[in-house]
Amino acid sequence: MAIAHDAAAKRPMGWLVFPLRLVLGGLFVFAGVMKVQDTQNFAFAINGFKLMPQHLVVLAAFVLPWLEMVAGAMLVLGLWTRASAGVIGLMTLGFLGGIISVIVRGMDVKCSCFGKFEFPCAGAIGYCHLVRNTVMIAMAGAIVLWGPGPLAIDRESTK
Amino acid sequence: MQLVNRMLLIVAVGFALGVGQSMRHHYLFKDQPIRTEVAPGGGGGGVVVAAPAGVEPDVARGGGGPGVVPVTPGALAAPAAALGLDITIPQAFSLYQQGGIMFLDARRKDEFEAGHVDGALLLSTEHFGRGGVPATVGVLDKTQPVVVYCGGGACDASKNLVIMLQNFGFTRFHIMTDGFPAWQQAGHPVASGPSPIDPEEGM
Repeated sequence: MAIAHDAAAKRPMGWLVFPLRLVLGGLFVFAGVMKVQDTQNFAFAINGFKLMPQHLVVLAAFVLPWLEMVAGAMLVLGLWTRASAGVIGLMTLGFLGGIISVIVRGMDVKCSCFGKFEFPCAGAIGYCHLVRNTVMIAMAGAIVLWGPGPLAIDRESTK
Repeated sequence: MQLVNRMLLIVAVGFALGVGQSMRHHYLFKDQPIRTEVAPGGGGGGVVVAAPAGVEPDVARGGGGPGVVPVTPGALAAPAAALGLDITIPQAFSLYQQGGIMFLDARRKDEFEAGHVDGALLLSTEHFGRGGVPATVGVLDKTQPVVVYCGGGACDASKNLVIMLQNFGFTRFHIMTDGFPAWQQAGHPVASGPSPIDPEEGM
């Protein structure tokens, strides 16, 4: 990857990456914790998208919250920052696909992105969710590009 | 390349944790149509016999109108003047006044404690699947209809709870579609504070 390997050149961006990491990682940890408390409800929510057969719905309902928590926590800590941001970006991209398909099909589906909390988009899935996820993908992309930034476990050698 | 390997490893960890949780989880997700036995009494309205769960939410949202919904064979003999699955606030209130009918609040605990239908119990899908049956289920009378509500609008919690209760042998439910805000607005009895029966008791 053609990324500036010069630490000095990266530093100005670093302080921009740090809040991105905290916000995006924090959001994912929160989302995962909310979902893992009510797997049943999350399964119903995924099923509402009508994109997957039921055995995959069950698998996704169990795996996604944990994946969100693990990747989110790693992103906040700055551990394997690029990889965790990449996982989060791809997950969000997948969710965005689901959101678009729901909008295109004109369905009235609840997001359940944060369990019983709705943030920052209330109600059924719509353009607000689309914009939110696009912003989150951009944030993840920026972290993948710019690296861990300050206050990260990752060192230059392991970024 | 290293980036991809690490991403795969993160996914594998999430996968392992999720599968691990699934082994301790006691309830398996099952999507099934809601079949409610039509309860006698109450005002008129559409007869909702079976609404596909999680399929067409607008079908299940018949309200009190004369709306008609897919009817499953075997339930065709339902009397016309009976309450359907979805009921309006006035219909719910008339059931409330009859007494003996339990109201279940499927919202979050903090929402419940801030205000709920007077006499309602807290119960939602999150109380299932942690290795036991929620204490609330034990005190409910399966021969009586239960009225389930959540926050109204786009909330699915009631419908999901009804699907869960179905697995425990309940057959008569109503969903107060407009939810607690509308109940409160109508000036019907409300209370605040913790649920008289903690659904997580003994779990």
